[in-house]
Amino acid sequence: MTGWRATLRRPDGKVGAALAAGLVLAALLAPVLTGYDPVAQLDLDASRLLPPSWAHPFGTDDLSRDILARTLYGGRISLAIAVLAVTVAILVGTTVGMIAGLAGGLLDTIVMRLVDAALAIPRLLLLLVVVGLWGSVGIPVLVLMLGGTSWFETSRLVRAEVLSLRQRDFIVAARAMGVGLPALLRRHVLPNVMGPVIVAATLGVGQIVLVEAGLSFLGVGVRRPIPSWGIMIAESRDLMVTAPWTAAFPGLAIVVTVLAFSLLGDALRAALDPKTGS
Amino acid sequence: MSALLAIRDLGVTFTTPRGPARAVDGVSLDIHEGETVGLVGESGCGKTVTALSVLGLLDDHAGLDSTSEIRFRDRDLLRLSAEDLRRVRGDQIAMIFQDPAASLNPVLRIGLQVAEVLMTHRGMSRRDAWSRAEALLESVGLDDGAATARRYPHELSGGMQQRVMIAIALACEPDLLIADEPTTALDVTIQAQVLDLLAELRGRLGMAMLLVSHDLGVVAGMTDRIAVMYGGQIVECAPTADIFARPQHPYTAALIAAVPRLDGPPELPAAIPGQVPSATGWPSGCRFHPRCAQAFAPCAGDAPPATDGAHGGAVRCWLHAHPEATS
Repeated sequence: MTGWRATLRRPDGKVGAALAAGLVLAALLAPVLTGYDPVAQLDLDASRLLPPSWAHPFGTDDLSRDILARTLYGGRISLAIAVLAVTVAILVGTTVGMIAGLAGGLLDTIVMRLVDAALAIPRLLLLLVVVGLWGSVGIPVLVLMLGGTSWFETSRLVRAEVLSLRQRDFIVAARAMGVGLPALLRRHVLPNVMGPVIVAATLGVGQIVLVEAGLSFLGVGVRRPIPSWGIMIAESRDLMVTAPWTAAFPGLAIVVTVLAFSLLGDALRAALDPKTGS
Repeated sequence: MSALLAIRDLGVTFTTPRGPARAVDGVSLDIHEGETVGLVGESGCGKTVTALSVLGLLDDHAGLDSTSEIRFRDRDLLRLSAEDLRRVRGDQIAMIFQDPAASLNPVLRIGLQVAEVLMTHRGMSRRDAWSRAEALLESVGLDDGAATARRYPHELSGGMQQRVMIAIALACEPDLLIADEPTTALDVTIQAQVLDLLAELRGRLGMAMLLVSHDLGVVAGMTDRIAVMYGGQIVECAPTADIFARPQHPYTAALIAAVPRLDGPPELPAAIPGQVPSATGWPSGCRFHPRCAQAFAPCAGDAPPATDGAHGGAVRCWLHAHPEATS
């Protein structure tokens, strides 16, 4: 696709794509990159809170677990949750946006006012309330909740695109040629909506990693002993001064992830936008 | 001989924030098999709305009169089901638009956009439709059909894009082509090429054509008959030669006078004073009377009736309804 090539020609696109690919690879190859188990306690006497060394490049935590292993396996959890949640958000957001944009009228007004209302509530607060009502949640429910609270912007985006597409000459021309509604949506509306949606999805991955870390930090996200970056930071709360590596590496992982997907998203946006694209 | 397309008493009213806008008011027009009819007039006089009505492409804010009829091969297009109308579009009646760059989907390859019509109406497989599309692209004068088919619209010039639109429109060999300002967005040299192509294909396929244009020069060489629209009505309709030789309506005469000429002494073409009134409030009586140099007493009062002109045409003007007024 031309969009990808244009993205990779941009410096921010190169860096973003390289970082994102590195993160995904590191998470996938976790068993190859480290021999340690992310949840096994090595030796509570000899291996507690070791600073970074050749044996433990990221050090160990207060339960004598290898932080490199926990960061790598935590990346699996955090990235998987983020990608799945973004997929849910994109599917819901695109569907709602297309229906609202095409139907117009009262349905459009009602749906979009509800979306406005939902957007006015801070997402973390919304999630805390939902989780509080639900009780403790597993990862599938967490994914659904994160996705279920992340589609509002996407639906607005898609609706706006569909509204402007509806008036575009090539949609009228396709209708004038007898193209039916299913083909019109699939071949003419959807591909023209996909650009902004891909950008939103890419930016969304970084955002959801951050939200998930926040939830886990607050103790309502992923549950111990499953490693997630948010949980690792939460566990090192009392150790940040005496053993800063316990928080630094998962923190760095979050920063790099958000940075990678923001760079990639911005580069995609610039590359896909015909007005600024190279 | 019954007409291929018979528009009867077409009336279209748009709902606007400033009240109802009567864009088209009582338009009747016939197009016979193989005939090319020009629909001319200034912007805002209802030409495009008339053209869009034929294929039911008006938006939700447009309301059609209940007495309007658009009969095509003895079927009333205005009363077809959405599905039946969809089958007519692109197959029996095709349309090309003013701005070819905007009429092509920017993210789809040219070949697929041509093939799509064949897949829709002929039930062809994607592969068959694509190879037929390559042949069609060559038939509209694009040299390497296979290479053009693989391109995206932005890789083509405006003239090539309009050729692609023509290939799409003619893919199913329609009986009627509606061309709405097909050359307005193109350079003058390209305009001539595209008009030549349309004329050639029209002859080859034996199709009828409704050519909508504000440009009398474009319409003059292409049409058998011309209908002149003003204020949502057809004010004069006559064979092309008669329109230019003996314009009956002052508006027709003014339009012709407004075309720059090369074959006389150099002088500025005569502009028509004022501008087209808004469809939310047409003037009383004859809608052209505030701008008409020959307006007289009855013009502001009642709307002039349509009168059969001297040469087989029809004209809507008090000068001709009251022949004594000219003497």
